[in-house]
Amino acid sequence: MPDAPGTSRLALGGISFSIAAGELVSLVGPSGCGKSTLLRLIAGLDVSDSGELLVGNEKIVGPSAERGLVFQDPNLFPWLTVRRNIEAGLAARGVLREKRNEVDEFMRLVGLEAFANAYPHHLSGGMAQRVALARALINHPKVLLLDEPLGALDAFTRMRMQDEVLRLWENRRTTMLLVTHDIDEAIYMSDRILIMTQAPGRIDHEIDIDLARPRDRTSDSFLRFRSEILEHLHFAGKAVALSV
Amino acid sequence: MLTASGISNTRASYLDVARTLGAGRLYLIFRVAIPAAVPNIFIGLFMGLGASFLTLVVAESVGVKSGLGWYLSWAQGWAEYGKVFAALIIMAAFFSTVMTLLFKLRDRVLVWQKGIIKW
Repeated sequence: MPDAPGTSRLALGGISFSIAAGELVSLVGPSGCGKSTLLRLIAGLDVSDSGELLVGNEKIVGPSAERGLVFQDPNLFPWLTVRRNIEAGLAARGVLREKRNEVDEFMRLVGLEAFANAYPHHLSGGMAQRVALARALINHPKVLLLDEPLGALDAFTRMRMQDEVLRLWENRRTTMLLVTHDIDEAIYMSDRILIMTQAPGRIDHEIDIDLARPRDRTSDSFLRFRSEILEHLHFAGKAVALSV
Repeated sequence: MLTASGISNTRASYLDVARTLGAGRLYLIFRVAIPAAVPNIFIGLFMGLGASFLTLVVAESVGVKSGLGWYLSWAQGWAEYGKVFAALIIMAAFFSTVMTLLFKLRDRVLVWQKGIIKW
């Protein structure tokens, strides 16, 4: 039932976790459990009523280029070309002039040199998301926050983009926090999975995925992780009851 | 009006993205909010231009003793239909020239919309 206007509700309660530098951690959980809220808090776009978020020893007080965020919608600026969208990361901080030479490197990194002068609406979903990744990475963020970045892509593009994100991660060694509904994606990509439950959102379980990369989505150990996670989310071994 | 609503309708997510890229207030206004509002600004200009031309002609034909609107009703009074049509043609040519110029300007400024929107 929706809340009456003006009432507030505890979205997140008692969440505590830390991520080591260079780690790729996923956050999975049912929709509405506050995954995106948590990510927006870390990004500094929203402010929490209580509690503390630290990056290194510094408290998060507002958005900063140190914490890049990539949304499900690539949110490219439609009035800028691909190249200028990637430059926007530098231009926003006012350092475009000194660092212009890095733009080519990041265009190459995501393999979009040929589309430098294309406008975003000419790009496919996967290409647009690669531009969004480059735009965030060009600022060398300490943490890259990914809010279901591949959620809008079809299954095949999505699997290719998972490898692409992994390649960027291995190449840049950027710490990444990935929010996803896709359990396979979480197991395939992350070092560690945090499982959230809802109302109020809290982290129930933490699972280390100690499989060597590249991972085989059909291996026994992969599937064991899958059923373990489904069990934690109470979906294992039964048909999901329809609630009306 | 439409400029104001265009800016206030900037997709909040564009501003969120810009803020996580480290943008300051000036960048948010001039590099995000205003470019995002330009399509709406043009809609406003087109509507405003049509409305102002209409108002001008009507006002001229009732209120004042100068201008093409006045000339039109004056020539009509003398049954000089050649002059009436001449005035109409001048009006049409003038208005469509101004409109065409505005379209040209829009095509130049909103080149990024090419292919998304057919006008």
